[in-house]
Amino acid sequence: MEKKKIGIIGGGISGACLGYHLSLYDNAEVIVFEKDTIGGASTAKSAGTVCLFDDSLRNRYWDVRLYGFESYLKMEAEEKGSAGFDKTGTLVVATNEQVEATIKTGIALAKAAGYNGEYITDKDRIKEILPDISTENILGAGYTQDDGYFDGTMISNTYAKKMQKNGGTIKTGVKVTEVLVEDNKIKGLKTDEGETYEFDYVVDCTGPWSKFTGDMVGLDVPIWHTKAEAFFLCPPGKKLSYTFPVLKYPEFYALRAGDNIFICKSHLSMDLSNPMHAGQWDPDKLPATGGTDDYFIDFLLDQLEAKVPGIVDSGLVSSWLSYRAEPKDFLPILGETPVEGYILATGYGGNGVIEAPAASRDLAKLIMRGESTPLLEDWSFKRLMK
Amino acid sequence: MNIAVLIKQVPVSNDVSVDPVTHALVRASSEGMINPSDLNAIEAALVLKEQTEGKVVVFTMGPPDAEKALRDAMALGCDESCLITDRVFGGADTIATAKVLAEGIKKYGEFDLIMGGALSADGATGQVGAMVAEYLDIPHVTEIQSVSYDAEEPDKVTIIKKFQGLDLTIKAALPALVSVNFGANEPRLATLRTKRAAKSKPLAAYTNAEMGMDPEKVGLPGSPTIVTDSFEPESDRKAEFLTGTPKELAEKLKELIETEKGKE
Amino acid sequence: MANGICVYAENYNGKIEPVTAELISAAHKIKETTNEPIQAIVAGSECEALVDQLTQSGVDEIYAVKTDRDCAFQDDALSQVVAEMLKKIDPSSVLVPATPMGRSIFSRVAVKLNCGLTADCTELLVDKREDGSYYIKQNKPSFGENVFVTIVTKEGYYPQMMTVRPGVYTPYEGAGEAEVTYFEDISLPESKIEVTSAVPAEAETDSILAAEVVVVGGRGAEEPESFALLKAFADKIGAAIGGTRPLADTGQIPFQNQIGQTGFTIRPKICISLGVSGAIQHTEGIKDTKLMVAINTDENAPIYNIADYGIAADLNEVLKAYLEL
Repeated sequence: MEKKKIGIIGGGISGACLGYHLSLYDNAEVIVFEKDTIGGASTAKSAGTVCLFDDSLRNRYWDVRLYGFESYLKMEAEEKGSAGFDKTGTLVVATNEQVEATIKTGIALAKAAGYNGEYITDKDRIKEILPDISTENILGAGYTQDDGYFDGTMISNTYAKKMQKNGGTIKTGVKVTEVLVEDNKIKGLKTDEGETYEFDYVVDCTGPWSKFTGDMVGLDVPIWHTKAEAFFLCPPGKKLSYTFPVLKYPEFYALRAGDNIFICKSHLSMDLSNPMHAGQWDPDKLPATGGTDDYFIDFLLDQLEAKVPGIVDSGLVSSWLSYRAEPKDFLPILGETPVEGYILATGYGGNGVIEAPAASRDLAKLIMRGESTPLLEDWSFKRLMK
Repeated sequence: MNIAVLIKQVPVSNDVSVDPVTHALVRASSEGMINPSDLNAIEAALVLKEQTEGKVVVFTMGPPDAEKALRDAMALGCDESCLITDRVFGGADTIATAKVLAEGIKKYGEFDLIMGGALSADGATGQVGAMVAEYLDIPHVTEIQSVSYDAEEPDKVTIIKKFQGLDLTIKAALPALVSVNFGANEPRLATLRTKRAAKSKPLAAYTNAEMGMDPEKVGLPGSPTIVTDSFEPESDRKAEFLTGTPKELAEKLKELIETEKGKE
Repeated sequence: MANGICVYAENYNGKIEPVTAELISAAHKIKETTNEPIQAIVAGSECEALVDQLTQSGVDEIYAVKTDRDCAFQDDALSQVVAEMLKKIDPSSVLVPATPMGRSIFSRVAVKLNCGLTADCTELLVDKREDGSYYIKQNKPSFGENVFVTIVTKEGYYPQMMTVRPGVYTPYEGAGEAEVTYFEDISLPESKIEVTSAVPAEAETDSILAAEVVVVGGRGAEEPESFALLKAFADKIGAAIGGTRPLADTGQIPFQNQIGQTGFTIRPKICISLGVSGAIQHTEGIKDTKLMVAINTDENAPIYNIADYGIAADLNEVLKAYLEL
């Protein structure tokens, strides 16, 4: 069988996961080019929550969520720690009826797949799960013990290893400098090592770098950067006496990180027309830590005072800023582009860890068999051209 | 006890390279933070303040954006701050830096104790503190573990300093200057509330209009030493691989560890 | 006209510090070009004994001040003595060990002489000005060890004074007999510093933050057998134990000892990493080490981009061999 040669630009969760799914096909010859380290940039700053029901992804895409979750459970079962799973459970708080309805649907879907989940209106029970919470002004909360958060960097590295075992190649510390196109068709690419590679397909898995990557083939990739600003809090007393679950409000989410609490503004609360939230920036200039805006302090203080007053006096251990790559409808961009052979797997926003497995499964099928899927139609580049 | 703490805003990352043509330093990020051992100095100062009453004033000399480091220090509990900033102070070596800091402290008011971190994460000279003490004509002890105050001996502080496997107890007559080692204590953390409160704490900005120093005696012109070149080290810190049997590897490892331990 | 390469003979408790021989080596390298005499200065209460230790050390001249009391750490007073000695000797350069004691004394001396002090040099090179006079290019690391800068003492400022990092120059094998001069007219002023006790240091605290030697374990060290070896190894070399998140997750190290983006940043002198892959969120927590050795079976592990030395072997075997040494 004739080999198909595929070059993947970017070794974050998107590129590593796609590389793995492609490597499952006998006639795929895959190389992933990563300019730094695997899963070391935006992926490393991802919270890695893959919850059975929350507002990160609409219930319409339930199978995307489930496929991601179960892929990582399987990975973790094969080798403990390889997906960095911390099974803390999740508490999703309903502050209005619309959220409540979404949670209830999510619980029903989770139960149908064999997982536990319940919608709790007994405020004492909610306080048992999260003693530091305020139960005023809430309707109830969805709760499951079965999920938690994963580690995007570990997952990316595990996928990279599995891909290499299947014959794929990873090149770290190698930057793609040029994508070769002839008659509007992909020919290959060049790297900063001075090498030229021939490819049938080149896939952009560069997330927040996609504007720059797209420039190499003259493609305007319609993504914006939204700021993911996060703090690590050290709770008063330095150690919590209970297992802090993944905690989701429409405005922010929190999870434990060792004895600390990681807290971040939710990606759906970002406003693409607010220059404080969104813009076009250079992800290469992001510092490893720090970089958060002043308004974030006020925002979090107000939120925590009202919602989780028990941790409002936590110490601020560290903070970081990351850029999410978001199309205007907050859904990823997958599949074919006007340049033949140039494929996108980008724009996951804050949801790369959740969505990459299902998206990669379908993209691999598209590239290797030429077969599209309903998910790829939904998340196609075409939809943004309208 | 009124305490002045001298801090420095250092880059979050030491990831710096050298432009091959201009030989200018290219910083990977412009993000700044309080120098790590300065946080230990602030912690020691706040503990003393809580014990003796008085105030802690934090000083820095640097570009206008060093205000961020001062606000961070005030979020930890420092009461006031003073930003010494002027183009004429730029390009200063340790001598010219210490001269201006000493002048700023004198202008601000009277202090019983002046503190700072032992070494900065970027320059790591460990010199400015002792130089400030000399300009102020007060005694100093550098690279200490702790400092305490006893009301029975109101004109002294007691210092613990590690030296060649010994714990030295040293008494210094006040006013004095001490520099605190990284890791000497566990610095407290700011909270969301103290961060917000720090926004309205007093911050004085001194330019040379206020300081009135001779521009020829500060900054680059007032520095006895100048940087004439910069270059990247030959090795890019890529590991040199050791090979051999486990025993040979262990012996090589032992030699490396012991050689490094033997230094200083 | 300033003349001579002057070495500060750091001493404590009547003993000249071994680093002095390294400075004498550095001075000989300079002398090869400038042909200036090498001078040593020493001050202390047991001055004669200190001078005895220096006469065969390879210096040409020794200048000494006998103090009326032990003046270690009384740097407000000692710096005055040193400054007066240097004014009399008028050397063109002064080499000082880059030690806590050296930088503490000479920071004050530099202010008194208004001559500047370059810190922590790792290389001293002699160059010639247009008028034929010599000057020293003082190379030192900056920003961790990421870049090196060349520092020069401006023309007209003397002496050129610098601290030299210990361990860079090999100790000079002494030869010859030095000429000794005692400055009887320099006396030690009063000090506002008093050392009231010196006792052997208590056992190092467990704090990973303060530790100078740290062993960091990663995923490759999480098997109980590996972790037991890691602990024994850390004991043997007197290191604190830290770990990256995978190890903290196993509960073998407390969260207080977790390093990396979600834990602490440590700044040890020596760091031995065992089975750490080196993903950025782990290595962000290790900064400014002087020596970093990584052991990881995967030759391509990112940890080798930041380590000084790599051992791509089974850490269990290497540690077992180490413990048998």
